[in-house]
Amino acid sequence: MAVWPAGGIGLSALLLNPRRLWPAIVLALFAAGNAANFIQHRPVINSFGFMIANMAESLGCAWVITRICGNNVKFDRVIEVLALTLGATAVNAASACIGAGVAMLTSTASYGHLWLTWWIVDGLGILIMTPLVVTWSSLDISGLMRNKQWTRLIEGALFIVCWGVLSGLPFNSGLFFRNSFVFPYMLVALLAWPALRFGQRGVTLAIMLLAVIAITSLAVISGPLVWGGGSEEARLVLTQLYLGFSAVSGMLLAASFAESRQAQRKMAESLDFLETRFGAYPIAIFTYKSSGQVVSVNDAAVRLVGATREQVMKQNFRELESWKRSGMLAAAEKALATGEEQIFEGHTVSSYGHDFWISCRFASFFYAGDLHLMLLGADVSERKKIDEKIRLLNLELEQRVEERTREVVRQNEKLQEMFAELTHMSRVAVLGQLTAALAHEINQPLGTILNRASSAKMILSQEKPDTAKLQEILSSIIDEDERAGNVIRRLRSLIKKELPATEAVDLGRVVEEVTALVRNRSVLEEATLSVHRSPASMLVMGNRVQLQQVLLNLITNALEAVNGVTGSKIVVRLEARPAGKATVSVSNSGPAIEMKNVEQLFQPFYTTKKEGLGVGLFICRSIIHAHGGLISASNDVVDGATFYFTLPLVEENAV
Amino acid sequence: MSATSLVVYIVDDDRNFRESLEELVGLMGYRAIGFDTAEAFLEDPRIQRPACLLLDMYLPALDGFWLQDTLKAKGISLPVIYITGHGDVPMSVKALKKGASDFLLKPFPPEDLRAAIITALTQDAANVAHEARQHKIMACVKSLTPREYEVMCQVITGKLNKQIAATLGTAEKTIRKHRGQVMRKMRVASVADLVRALETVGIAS
Repeated sequence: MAVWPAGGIGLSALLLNPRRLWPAIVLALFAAGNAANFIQHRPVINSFGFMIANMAESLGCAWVITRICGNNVKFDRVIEVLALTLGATAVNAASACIGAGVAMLTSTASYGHLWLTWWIVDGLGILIMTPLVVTWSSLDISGLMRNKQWTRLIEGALFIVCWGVLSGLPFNSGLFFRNSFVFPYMLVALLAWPALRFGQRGVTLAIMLLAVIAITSLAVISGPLVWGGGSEEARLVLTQLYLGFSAVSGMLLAASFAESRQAQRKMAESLDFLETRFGAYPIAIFTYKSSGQVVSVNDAAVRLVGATREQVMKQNFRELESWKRSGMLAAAEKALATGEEQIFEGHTVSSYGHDFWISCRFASFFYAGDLHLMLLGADVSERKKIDEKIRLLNLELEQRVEERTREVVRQNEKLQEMFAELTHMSRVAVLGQLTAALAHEINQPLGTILNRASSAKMILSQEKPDTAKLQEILSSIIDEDERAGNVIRRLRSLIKKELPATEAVDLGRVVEEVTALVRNRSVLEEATLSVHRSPASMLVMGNRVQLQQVLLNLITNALEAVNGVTGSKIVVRLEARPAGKATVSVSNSGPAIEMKNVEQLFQPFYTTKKEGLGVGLFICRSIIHAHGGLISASNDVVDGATFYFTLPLVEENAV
Repeated sequence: MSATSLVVYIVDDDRNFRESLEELVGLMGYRAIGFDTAEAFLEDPRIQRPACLLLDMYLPALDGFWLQDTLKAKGISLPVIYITGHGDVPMSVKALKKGASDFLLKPFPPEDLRAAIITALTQDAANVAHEARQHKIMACVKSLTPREYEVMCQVITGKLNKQIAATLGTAEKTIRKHRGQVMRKMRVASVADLVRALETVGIAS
């Protein structure tokens, strides 16, 4: 036996099926092998032993190969061929131990001899049968017919004929080629044909043919032909080794060709993808040599220029008038010179008349030692149009805003004037009230002085004037004069045009002073004016006179509200609430205020009085707002109304 | 009547002014008694007459007008001279309407003050005399019997005894007797005197 195919066929059956089917395949092969042996009347013990060895061989090889190469083995990769070789040598060496042991039962030969025989025979079976079965089992014949690859079929047939003839010659021809070592090696070289043209299938078929021809040839049987001398067994072993090496060489060649083809195809695919992508980029991409010559452009670039690809490919950016005029040339030169990315945006007219706004980036790079320029550009005319529109709109808006601002400023100035006028009018209006109130204040000391002076005169007209008494009277006169002077000073500060600057004002004193001024009025109106201050003094930042004016206005309004009703009450309260603020309120027991809302009361020219201007509360509100405070009013539950304003207290640590 | 027995009350909350006024009034020869509020004045039980009141219109709690109204309500017809540091037409009109004796604006010359005081005191002296007379007449009236009072009311209308007798439904003789009692009790000599006396106490009208 020269080639024992059982192990090889078993291995191919395993490789062609998933692992989960392996136990079933092994069992089936085991049964089939034993059945065959039974038909041939082999001893059962030998049959079992050999089949166990064979199955171990198949399983071991399948395990090693799938372990190294994964499950989808087609022997079109070098690693798969090498793994097969490993199985055929190393794994087979192990299973040969079992096989030789079994053979010892019926053979007289030495164990070493039996082992070597087994090793070679089964190894060759694996190397030849397994790839043959695996590769040819996946042949798609109908596909071949459909694609009408007649030339390939003819070439295949031609190869088989050539191969058959050339294989037969060294082993069978007794004429010219006897004892020639050259021809078997030529055959190995010739394996490049199927390896290149037909792949692994061609190679395995060729090896199979070669094995059949060689082993059955006269050279082996009759010898000494190719390998010369020795016994038939020695010649057979040599032939077997030759076949084994040929098979491995041929398969390696085919696998490496296949791999290289596969790699090429993949590269071509990825290049094609790259090319397609480059062409389809929605941004124009130009590549130039440093000389200015176009190297490549994509579809968008061609569209951007507005010419044909051929025309664009002939361009040299240094010669383009449009580049010079638009300033693109300068940016390109800078990118080339500095290696830094340049951004350019501008209006240009391409050599083919495409008038547009371009936004682009220039970058330089080295390829194969040469400096190149890359330009990424986009037509931004639409955006530019919108930008321009926006710019014009903005300009218009700015102008309008400016106009409006001027108008507002003018209006504001007018308002300020009006306000100043109103403030003055209001001040003049309260001046009358003030004069009356202050007249009382000032007449008090004046009256005292006059009384004292009259007394003095009378004392002096006596026979013995009491000088001590006169002294007393004169001191009193001086004191009263002082008192009158103070009143005058206070009056002056109230009606002065230039108002004193903001200062810490004691609201307690403001309340005190203003209520003192209006007491006389309250008498006339037959109203009781009471003052509650808790605490008695509170500091706020502000203008003393303005705050006096506000309070005076509120109290005057209250007096007018209760006009003539005997027993009316007016209560002025100073309270430290809410937190951090001071509230001054003026309540009157008069009728409730008729109003749509509180805000209305403080609107200019809103009045319920016959002679009223309707500016008092408006001015009050302006003053209080200027002090960072609030002014409001509410009707009391039972009767009357309360006006109040709230001002932030001066923080203690700030005083 | 000695000057020192005449009292001038002063009600003014301004201490300096009040004291200067007290001094001046004192030098003028009157007894000046000062109060700083209306209530203090009312609480003083020793109000002497004839007198006058120098009253500040403005007082902290209860003002001058209130005091004047209260005095009137109590039947004290003390003449009031208003003194004020600030007076205007409506205010003075109001004061005089309420029956003030005078209205002085601070500062006022001593002559004006003296004149005002004299006028007021004279008025009050008359008031006091009048009140005394009224008091006396009222005492006489009260001594009459109801029948005598009825007859007196008929007499002062100028009717004859016969007419009165007819009206009251009694004898002329009885009427004549009652009339005699009336004339005696009322201490008058003639019907004309009786009418004057009754007018003084406001019965005749």
